[in-house]
Amino acid sequence: MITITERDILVAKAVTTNISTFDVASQLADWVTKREAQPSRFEYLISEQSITVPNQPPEFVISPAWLGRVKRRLEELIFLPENWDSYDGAPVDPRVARLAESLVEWFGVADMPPPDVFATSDGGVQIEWHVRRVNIEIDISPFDGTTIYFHDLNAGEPWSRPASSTDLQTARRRLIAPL
Amino acid sequence: MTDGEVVFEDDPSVETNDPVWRRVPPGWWTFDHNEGRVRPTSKCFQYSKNKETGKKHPMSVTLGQGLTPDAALAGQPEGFKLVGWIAGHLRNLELGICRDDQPDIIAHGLVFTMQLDSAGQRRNNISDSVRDRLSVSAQWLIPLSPEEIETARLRTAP
Repeated sequence: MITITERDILVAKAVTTNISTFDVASQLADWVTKREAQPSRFEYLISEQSITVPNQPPEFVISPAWLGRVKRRLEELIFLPENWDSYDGAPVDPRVARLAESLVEWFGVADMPPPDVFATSDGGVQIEWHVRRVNIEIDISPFDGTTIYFHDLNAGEPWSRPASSTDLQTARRRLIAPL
Repeated sequence: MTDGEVVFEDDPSVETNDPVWRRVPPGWWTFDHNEGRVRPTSKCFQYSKNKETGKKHPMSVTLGQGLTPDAALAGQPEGFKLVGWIAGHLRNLELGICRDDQPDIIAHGLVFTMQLDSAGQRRNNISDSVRDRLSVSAQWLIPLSPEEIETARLRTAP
């Protein structure tokens, strides 16, 4: 089992901060820089199963059951033929696939339901969930930035906008929240 | 909607109950656990992008009046599905429809947003919420097999 650490969470947070102003190359470079700059000190107790914060229940465990499959699917999307959708669709931009993979890993915490991932005709990727009374779609486009569509079926009108770190954390929390 | 010099306007000759169809590539569907059924991914319903000019172009559709679903999929690789709505439903979603005759494409039409942006200009794509509603309301004209549905369900089961 792979265990996600608080450091990973902090790194992922740094990545998603820039997602609304998406530029694949610069964003990945920024992420690598921040990953390398992270301190290696851990304040949490790390076990085989989870990270345990003193006096708090286990919270974050990566979800291994679906992560490999989703990452393989993202890799496959790079090799789609031109016109794969019969509407002149382009294969997924490899830089977008890498960013999508990073984002999927960030979502891979305990009790996270598996997402579906799809190529978009402009060479982007859409990551989506329709479960637990919420519809969430994250669209990573090589041209139009990263947007999030969020519709909590228990809580009124949907919203859609360029994805911020806060939006992504809201999505993650909502997906793992008990009904 | 404009595309260069072309202005797209809703065509009333496409009548309210006329069928409007869109092809769905193999596997481009997801199991909606909230609804308990499979739906095409909303990304099936978006403008295309001209690779040479970079301009967005309205969503291609097949105007299905007088056609069979199989005829609409003629020449496509195995595994493609077909979904559809009636024109009136699309107009209720603030979408316009027009004919767009193409020499090699049967009954080709275009669907475009009628929504305006904050500057009063037509938006250059179908909004996320409308795409979601298109996905939810799409009727399968070439249905999925039970195995395809089960595969989709298991892929995203919590």
